[in-house]
Amino acid sequence: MYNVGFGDCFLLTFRYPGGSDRHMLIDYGTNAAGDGGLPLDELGLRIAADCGGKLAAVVLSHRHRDHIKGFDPAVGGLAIKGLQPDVVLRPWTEEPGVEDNANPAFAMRRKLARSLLTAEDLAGDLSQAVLGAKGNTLRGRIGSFSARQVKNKDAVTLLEELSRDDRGRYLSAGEDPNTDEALPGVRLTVLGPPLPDDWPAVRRQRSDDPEYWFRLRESLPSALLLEDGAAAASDLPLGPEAWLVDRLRAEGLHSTLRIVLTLDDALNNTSLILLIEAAGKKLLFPGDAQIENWSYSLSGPGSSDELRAKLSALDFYKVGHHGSRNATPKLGLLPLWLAPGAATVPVAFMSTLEGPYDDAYPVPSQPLVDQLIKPPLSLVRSDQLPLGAQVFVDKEL
Amino acid sequence: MTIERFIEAIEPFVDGKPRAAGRTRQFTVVAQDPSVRVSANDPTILSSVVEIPAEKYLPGPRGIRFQVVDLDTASGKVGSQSEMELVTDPKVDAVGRAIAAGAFGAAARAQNVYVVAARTLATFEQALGRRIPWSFPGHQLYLIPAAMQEAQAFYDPDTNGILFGSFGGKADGTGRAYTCLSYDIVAHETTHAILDGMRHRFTEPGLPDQAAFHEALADIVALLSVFSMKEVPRRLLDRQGVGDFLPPELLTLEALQEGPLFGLAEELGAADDDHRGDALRRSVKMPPGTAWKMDPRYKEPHQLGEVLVAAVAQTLLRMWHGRIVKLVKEGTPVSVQLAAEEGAKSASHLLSMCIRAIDYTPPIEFLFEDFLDAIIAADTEVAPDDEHHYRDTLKEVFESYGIMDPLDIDHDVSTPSGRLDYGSLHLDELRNDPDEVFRFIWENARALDIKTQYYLAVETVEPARRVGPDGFVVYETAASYVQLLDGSVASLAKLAETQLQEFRIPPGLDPSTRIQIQGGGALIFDEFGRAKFHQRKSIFGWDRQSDRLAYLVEKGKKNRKGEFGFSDGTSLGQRFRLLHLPSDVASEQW
Repeated sequence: MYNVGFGDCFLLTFRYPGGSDRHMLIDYGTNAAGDGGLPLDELGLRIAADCGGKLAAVVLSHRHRDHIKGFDPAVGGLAIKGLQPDVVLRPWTEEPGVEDNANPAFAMRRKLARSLLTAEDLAGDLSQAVLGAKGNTLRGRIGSFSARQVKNKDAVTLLEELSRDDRGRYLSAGEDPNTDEALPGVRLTVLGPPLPDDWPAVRRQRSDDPEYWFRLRESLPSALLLEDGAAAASDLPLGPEAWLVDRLRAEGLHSTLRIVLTLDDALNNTSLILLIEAAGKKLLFPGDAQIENWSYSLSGPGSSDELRAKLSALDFYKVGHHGSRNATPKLGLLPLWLAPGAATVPVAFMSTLEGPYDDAYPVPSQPLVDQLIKPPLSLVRSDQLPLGAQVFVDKEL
Repeated sequence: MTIERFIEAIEPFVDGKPRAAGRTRQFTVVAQDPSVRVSANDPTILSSVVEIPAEKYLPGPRGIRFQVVDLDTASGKVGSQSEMELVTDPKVDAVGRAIAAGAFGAAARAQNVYVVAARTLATFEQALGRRIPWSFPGHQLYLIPAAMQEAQAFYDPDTNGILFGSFGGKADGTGRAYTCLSYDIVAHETTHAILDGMRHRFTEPGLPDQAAFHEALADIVALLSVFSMKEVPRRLLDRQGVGDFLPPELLTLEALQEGPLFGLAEELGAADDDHRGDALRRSVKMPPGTAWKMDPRYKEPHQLGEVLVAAVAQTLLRMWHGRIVKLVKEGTPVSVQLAAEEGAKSASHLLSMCIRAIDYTPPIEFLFEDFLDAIIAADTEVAPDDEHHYRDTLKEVFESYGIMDPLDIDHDVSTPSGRLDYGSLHLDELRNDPDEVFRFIWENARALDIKTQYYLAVETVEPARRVGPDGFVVYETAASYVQLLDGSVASLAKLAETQLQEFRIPPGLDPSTRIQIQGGGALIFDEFGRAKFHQRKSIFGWDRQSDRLAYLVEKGKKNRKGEFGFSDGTSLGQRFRLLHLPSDVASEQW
């Protein structure tokens, strides 16, 4: 686990008999750097060194900035390109052309993909509209949250280049990633994201509709450009209406922030949830998946006794969404690990940075941290590594 | 001899407007929401004509208890104020015309939201037999029909109003969906506002039943209000709009459940994005059983509320079926109109029963069994005979969901220890003065078993004139009081010991942590100022206090100083918004 601050960057090394190693990179990005880690561009060179100049696989859990930014050629993308990965695994939403697929069987997928793109454009407009707003104000928070949703086109282009010639995998729950050639002996199971056709929980009737986001693009950014309703207040006659407008002055901003958070949730729920089995060890990397994504495999059609047995015997868990309150299923996962007589208990790795993510619900969530540090569980945090050893932390399994 | 009659030559018009015929006026409202049509053969939007108290209107429209403000919070712009159009034939009022045209302008939206909210308040005031204040000073609740571009609506006590969202549609503004045109959403949110005025402390940190009751009551009122308009059950019974008569097999208990009841559940709440509608849908379909008590998801207020709604929905079903069976000869076809009217009457009757109960619930530390207890007690007062055995049906259904009617305790005032002393009281002040009720409690502390050495405040005293279904009139005064005690967990545990009970401290909790424990009760006085009922939640029910502390610690519901039970750290406005989190999401959160 590399210390990138508020973001993810993990390098898995598979030791093969005969001394050869193969490596898998899972995510490479950040929103805010922490103390002691390497800047994102330098990290690219470090990764190149650590993997001996060759990557077997690159995994992008989802296209949020704090997971993808490093792939931008202007940051560290060229370094990764030089590592010539054999396969690139991404969620089905990243497949080029999914938003234009006219095949009626793909209608729901097309709709969702289009909504995400339109919504990302809205996020771009919003972050422009509040440019210069101070971080701890409502407008500032709208700005910082929106900026995180904007699609990093250059990073995506680089990943698409790396995915050419049949190297790209666009995966949904239950699909076989077909990585045997790149990583023999390593079994990958995809637990999420489910296709919207298969799992209504990831669908939201309104915000799945590209039209919904188009309408918002027409009105929200220009509303933000207004000076907090000052113009409107002077038109009003004296009386209760003016009082109300004054009291609700911030409400429009709250509403806009909620809308941006809806997009944040939707993108989080496109995360790849990967179960990696190698040499008798089991590792779980869920990206930033939230419960609507998880539930497909924990309690929905994707669940099975076999899967539950594997999840009960995990050796490693990458804590979802940097330790936020809604990315580690409380009822769906913890009881499996804490069941009496459990043979193995996972060690949890959390790549995070404390600081304002959302005032109402700080990340990482304290109750979650408290649970993960209680024996028999154990937790390693990227923001609490010992001085002098803060660039990365290693774990041999 | 000739009889002389006194007459008044009445002007038909006053100020150019038609004179109100009586104390109510009729308006058209959208019965469910604009996507629901009369039948498969008739694409007209389903509507109903409802009555609300007559009043004078200012532009807005603005009346005695509500004010519509057409404010878009994103831009801060206030649209033009609409006038409430008063016409003699409601079919051609603003909403009536909008339904005929298939499009709702600002005036039609304003009328719809105003009338549904006013109708909901009127239903409460009629059932309770008194006026009900809001939770804030002032008399008017704001209704904002197009507040934000989201598919949700919420009551915001910080701004004394209900914000309704709108979403979707095309660039030219057509096809936009407005939550203020959904009857169930408006009734649901107005109920939050009304209950917040009646039982303000239900949003305080406590066991989940309390917050669950807010959601449950709001859904109960929404479901029963919609059903009480006969056009709604009529449509649900006869979707094609073809028949005048139904074969008896469509009116069995199972058929009524699968058809009309579940059908309505599917349609309600479809308009919003928060999956709140899922909760209503799930509740109506939840079969009787007690498995929910072991399921950790039902510790979330939102999901817990579903159990109460399920019990009420099943009760409605049985009442409806019972009424049809009584009126119809075995095996003969039944008129759709008749069956629909019986459904509407059942819903209306059950709604009144549920609302009347609120005055009999404790003002704090509410548990579901208190609601059942209160319904039975309140209904017995206004309908002593219960010839249709509705109370028995209700009890049976609630018990099938594991909500048991607590045992009633009889307090014999003729015994020396049970005697209540009214000697120093002014009976007419007992009807509305909190100080006088406190005097009653103080003088009778021992008989009432209330420890008055701890802080006690009488919060509400309300005289009421309740009319039962048979016209039976009961005059009562409903009063409520709360007791609060602050202290460290350790010192409270010691106090419990002196009372020979145990206040269990959750393992790992620092014994010096401060907590506020709460108790209280409802006192009902008859028209002569004699106490009839005492619905009590003793502050020293240590078992309950232990459960409450364990729950608050588990959920981390403490205020900024790390204290439990005072407030849970969220602002008032946030609390109602958070209640609307989908329950499967809520239970998985840290």
